[in-house]
Amino acid sequence: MDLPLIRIINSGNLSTLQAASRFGFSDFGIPESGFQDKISAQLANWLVGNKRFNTLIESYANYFEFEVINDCSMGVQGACSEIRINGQSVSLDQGHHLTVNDRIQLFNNTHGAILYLAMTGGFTGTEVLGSTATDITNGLGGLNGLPLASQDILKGSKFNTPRQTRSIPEGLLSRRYFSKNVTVHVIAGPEAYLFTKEVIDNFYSHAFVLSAEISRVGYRLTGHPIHADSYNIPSKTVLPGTIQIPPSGDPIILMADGPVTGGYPRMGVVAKVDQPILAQLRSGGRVRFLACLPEDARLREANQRQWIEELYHKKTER
Amino acid sequence: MGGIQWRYLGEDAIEISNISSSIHVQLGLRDYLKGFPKLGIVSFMLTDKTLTLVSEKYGFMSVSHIIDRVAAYQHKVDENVMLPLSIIPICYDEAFALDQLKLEGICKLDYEEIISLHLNAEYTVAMFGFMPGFPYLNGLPLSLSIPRLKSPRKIIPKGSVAIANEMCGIYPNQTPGGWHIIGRSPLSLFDPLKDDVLPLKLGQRVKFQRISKKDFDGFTPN
Repeated sequence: MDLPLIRIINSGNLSTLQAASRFGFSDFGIPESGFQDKISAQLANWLVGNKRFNTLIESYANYFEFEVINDCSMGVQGACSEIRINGQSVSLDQGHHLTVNDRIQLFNNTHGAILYLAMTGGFTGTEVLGSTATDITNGLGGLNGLPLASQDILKGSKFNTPRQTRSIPEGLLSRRYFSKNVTVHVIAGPEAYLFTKEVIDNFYSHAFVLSAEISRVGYRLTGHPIHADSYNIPSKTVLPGTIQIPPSGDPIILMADGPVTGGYPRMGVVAKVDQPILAQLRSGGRVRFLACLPEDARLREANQRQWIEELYHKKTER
Repeated sequence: MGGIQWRYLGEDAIEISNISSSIHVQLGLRDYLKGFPKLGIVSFMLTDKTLTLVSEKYGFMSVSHIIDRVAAYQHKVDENVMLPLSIIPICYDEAFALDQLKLEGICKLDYEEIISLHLNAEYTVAMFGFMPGFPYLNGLPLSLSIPRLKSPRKIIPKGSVAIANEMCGIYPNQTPGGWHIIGRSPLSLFDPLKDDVLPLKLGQRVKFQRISKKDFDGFTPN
C-alpha cells in the first residue's frame, strides 16, 4: 500500500525519480537511465536504511522545497550545502525524521550539480521494463515519465515509519569528489583511430569547459574543438560515458538517458568509477581527460563498489 | 570467421567488428554466444556488421575465450528460423509525405514512381536504435538512397515512415529527426506497457501496404 509522503513546493531544475537502471533493453533502442552519481544516490538510500537502488529523487536544483504529508525519514546526499527543517539548519550527513506539515528546504551552492533525496522505503514510481527510473526523453518510468514539478505529490511505502537514524561514517568519500576542476579517466574508444596523434595528444592535454548544455542525455564540452579525419561512419552502439566528437568539434559525453546508438566518432569512454565525478561537474567547470587501460578502470571501480558494499553490509550501529 | 577484430567500448564492453552483414548470421552468432553463460555476457547489441557485448559487473574474465567462440561459430542456414513477414500499413497522402517535393527533386522521379519502388521492396529489420522501437530497415531500392536532411526537423510526427542513405525507418514517437519523410503508418511500434513491447523483431521481413487517408483515419490497432 502506498501513502502520500510529500508535496513538492519548489521542484527546481530537472528533478526526476531514479532507481536501478533499465538495463538489458538496448537492442530495443531503450536507454539505461538510473542514477548518474551512483555514490551519492546509494549513500542517500543507506542513510534511511533502504536498499542501494530504491527509488529516490535526483535533482539539479539549486533550491528544492517540499512539505511532509505523512511522517517519514529523509536522507540527502550529493550536491546539497544546507538542509533546513522548518527554518532550522540540520546536519547534512545524517538521516532525519520528518513529521506531518514539516517544511524542508534544500540549498545547493557548492561545486556539485546533483542532489539525491531518499525516503525510507523509497518513492513509488511507475515500473516500466523492470525499472522505475525516469527517462523523460521517451516518457518512461517515474511519475508518468515526466520530470517532477511543483505541487506534485509523491507516494511511498506505508512502511516508511522512522526506524533509525544513520550518519555517514567519518572518513568516507561522501561529497569530497565534487570540484570545479575535475580529472576523469578515459578508455580509448573504437574510433580513436580516426584522429591523428596530434589531435589525441591535444584531447588528453587540455582542459575542456562544461557548457550550459547539460541534461541527463548528455553533457557538451567546449573550449578545445577536436577534429576527426572522417565523420562518415554508420551508427554504432554507445553507452553512458561515451565521448562522441561531432563535426563541430565540441565533444558530447553521453549520460544515463543517452541514446543506444550514435553516428559520431567515439573518441573514448569515461571510466565508470569516474562517471559520478563528471556528472557532478557544474556548467562552467573544467574537465581534463587522462588515458587509462580497461583493467585499471575495473580495479578502481571494484574498490569503489567494495566500500559501498561494506557500508551496506556492516551491522548498523545505533 | 578468421581475422576477428575487436575493440573495447569502455572497461566492460567489447565490440566485434566486420562480422557478416547478414542479419541472420548476426542473430545466429548472438544466439550461439548466448549458449555459453560462463562467458559472462549480459547484453548483446547488433549494429551494422558489429556486435557489442557487455559484461557482468567486473568486466570480461577472458576476452580471448569470447573471440575463440566467435571464431568457432559456423553459420548454418536454418529456414525455419526465418521470422514471418510483417505487413505495415502506410499512407502516402501529401498530408503525411512531408518531403514529397524534395524526394521527387533528388530522386528525379514522380511521387507515384517513388511509392511503387518503396512498396515493391521487401525489407529486413537490421537493428533498433536512435529511440525506443525505431527499426532500421535494410532493403531500400538504390534509386531511393539519398543522404540525410542537412538540418534535422524539430518535430517528426509519430508513425512517420522515412528514408535516408540505404535505410528505411519508422518513427515510433514524435521526435526531432533527420530522415526524409515518405508517408505515415497508423501502427503503434513501441508500447512499453504491453507484454509484446516491440511488434517488430530483429531479422523480421517487412513489406509496406498502401492505405488511403480514409483508411488511415479509421484505423483501429488490434
